[in-house]
Amino acid sequence: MKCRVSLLWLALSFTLVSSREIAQRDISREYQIKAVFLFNFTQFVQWPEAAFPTPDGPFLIGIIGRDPFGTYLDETVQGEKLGDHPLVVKRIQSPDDVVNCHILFVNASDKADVKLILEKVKDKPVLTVGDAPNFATLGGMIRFLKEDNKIRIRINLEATKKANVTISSKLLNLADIVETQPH
Amino acid sequence: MHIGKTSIQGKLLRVILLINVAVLLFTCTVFFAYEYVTFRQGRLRELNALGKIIASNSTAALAFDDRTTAREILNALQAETRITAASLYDKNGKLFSHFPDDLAVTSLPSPPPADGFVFSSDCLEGVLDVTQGTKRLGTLYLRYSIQALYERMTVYLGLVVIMIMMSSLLAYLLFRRLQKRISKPIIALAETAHAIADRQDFSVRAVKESEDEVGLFTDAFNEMLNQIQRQNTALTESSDRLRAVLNSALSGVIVIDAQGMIIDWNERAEKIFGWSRDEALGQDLAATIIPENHRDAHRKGILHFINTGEGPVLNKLMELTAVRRNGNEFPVELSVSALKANSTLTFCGFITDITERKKTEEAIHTFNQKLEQMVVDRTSELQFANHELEAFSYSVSHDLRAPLRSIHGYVSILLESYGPMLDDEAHRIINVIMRNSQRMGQLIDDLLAFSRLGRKELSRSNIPMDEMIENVIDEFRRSGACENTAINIHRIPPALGDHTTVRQVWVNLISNALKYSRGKEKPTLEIGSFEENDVVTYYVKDNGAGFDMAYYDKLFGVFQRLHSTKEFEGTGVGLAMVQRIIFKHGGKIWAEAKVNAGATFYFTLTADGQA
Repeated sequence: MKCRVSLLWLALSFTLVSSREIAQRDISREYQIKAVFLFNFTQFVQWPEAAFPTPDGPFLIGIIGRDPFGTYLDETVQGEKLGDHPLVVKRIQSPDDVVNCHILFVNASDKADVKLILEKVKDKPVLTVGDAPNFATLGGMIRFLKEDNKIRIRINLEATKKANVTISSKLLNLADIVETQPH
Repeated sequence: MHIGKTSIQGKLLRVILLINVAVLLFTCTVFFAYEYVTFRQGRLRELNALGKIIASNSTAALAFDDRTTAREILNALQAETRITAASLYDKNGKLFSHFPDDLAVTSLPSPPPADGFVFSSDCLEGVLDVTQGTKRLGTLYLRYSIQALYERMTVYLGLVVIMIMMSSLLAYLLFRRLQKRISKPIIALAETAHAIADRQDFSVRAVKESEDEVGLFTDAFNEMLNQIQRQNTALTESSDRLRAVLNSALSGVIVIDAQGMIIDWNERAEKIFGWSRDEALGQDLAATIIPENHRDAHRKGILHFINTGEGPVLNKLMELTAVRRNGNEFPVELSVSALKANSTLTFCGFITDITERKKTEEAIHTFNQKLEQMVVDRTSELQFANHELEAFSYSVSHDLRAPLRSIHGYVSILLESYGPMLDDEAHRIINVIMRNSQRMGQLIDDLLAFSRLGRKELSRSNIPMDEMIENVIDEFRRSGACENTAINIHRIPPALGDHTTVRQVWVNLISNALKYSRGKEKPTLEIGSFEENDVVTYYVKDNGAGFDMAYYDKLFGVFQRLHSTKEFEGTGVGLAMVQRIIFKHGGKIWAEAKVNAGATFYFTLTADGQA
């Protein structure tokens, strides 16, 4: 009897594993695209000169919160440069480090956490990107949202203007434009 | 005249229209080419600009995988109807979006071709990179219809055809108005030339209407007419003169062509044959004047000359038989020469009627025959008389010897029997009688020998003359007749003659020479010869007494002597015999001499044919 139970468990655990793997793969694909999008933002967004302390200093893509990209993002930016600035991916440990980033991917779903982080980079030339449901309306600049199995972009134009980060009209063309809403 | 008129005008018109069409075609071709090239370049620029805009607009859509936006951007191409297809590819070359929506995806290239523009037969295809900043995000493909180019070219072509037609019409109308200035004087000239050719009237002159090249041509034409007129006059004069000369010729002059047709016939020919010039011209010569049995030979002769150039009867005087109009045949003397002028062959015959001459010749011939007969008769009479005479003189001589021998015998007896009884005077007289009877005997012997010679037949053979002379001289040497004489014998060729009598000639001439040079201190004798035309002339020369050339005609007479017997013995028969022998051989004999300066005797014989 004990044997039968253990067999059942085994079968169940297999099923669990495989369904989790499929979910994992979907997530991976999604973040694969998002990693490319993050990189593509460097092509459509302009940062002020002041964002770069040195002419050949690194262009930092920071990830705060859990890193959902695995190695994808590192692979995508591998060897890439923006002007003279080499692209570097940085996992942020301390919230104080976020101000040095040029792109900051915020992986937080909690509204308070998001607000806290956004507060840290307020008015700084840091392009904040996230996929929290109300990331843009909370004051984040770009939000990824999934629609018909496709990644769409929502932009808070007001926030970008305040941060002195210029987004290409081409990009704006594809995106939904939202404003910061009081929460 | 009408043909000439349309010809020059037609040519001018054709030239003008041809130039017009050629110029227009050339211009249009250049214009076409320019239009074609600029059109293509323009379309290329347009497509490039359009493509750049679309590519630029598509960057974000490609970067952020937004097919909807991409389709919207491509759909904007609807405004440009000539874009028949467009498509976007991502950076991996995968089709991302296309236009128009209902286009079959298979008609689009996949993956996209290399960047650039390519013209194909009906469209222009452009491939552009889609780049944001420095990043290539994908590729844009555009297909642009150039049907419009062809439509445009077709319209141009229609325009060109219409233009050529219109301008040709215009050129024709202008030509109709303006051509008269050029063609009229030329046509006038042509009409003049035609009139001259028609009427052979070289006194007509063309009227000069302008001072241009046509005017110059008119002048040159008129000058040429002047020259032709002059030459014509000269030619006519020369021809008339020639005709007068031909007509005044005593021979009939007939010219025929290579076919044997008569092309000239002078007055004399009219008289000889009885055909007038007008009747004879164009007739077959053979049928006109040659007797029927000679016609074939005549025709073959002409053919043979044409084919081979051999004319054995040409340029020779021949006697032939001809026939008159009335059918009478008569003898003619004829010479024919072939004349070749400008590759046209003619034969010219000079004919003389020799009927009268033939008659005269016949008469002379008859007369000559009579004469010859007469000569033969007379000669035989003379020979008969001569024989009689010779026979007579022979018998007389022979008969004279008997009484002479009797006289001689009796005088000898008288001297032997009664010698001692006779005184000196009687002895002297008897001796005179003896001597004279001996001399008479000698005379009779010589006379007999001489007359025998007249009857003797000669037997001719080749005589080795040098041997014969050597032999004769030897004999004289043996008899001591030429002890002191220097004898010089030159080259002596052989000759034909009778051996015995010719030897007699040498004996007589050499003995004469020895005899008459005997009294000289250094007697010399020279024998020699020279040859000319089968005749050998021999000579015997001495330095003896010679003779006076005044008595030359007596030299060869019988019993004729130029010296007394006391000076030089002899009967006076030797040279007569020599002359007779040489004459019988058909040769000649003569002598040259001076008193006391020697004499030279010459005689000729026929040279030996084989020598």
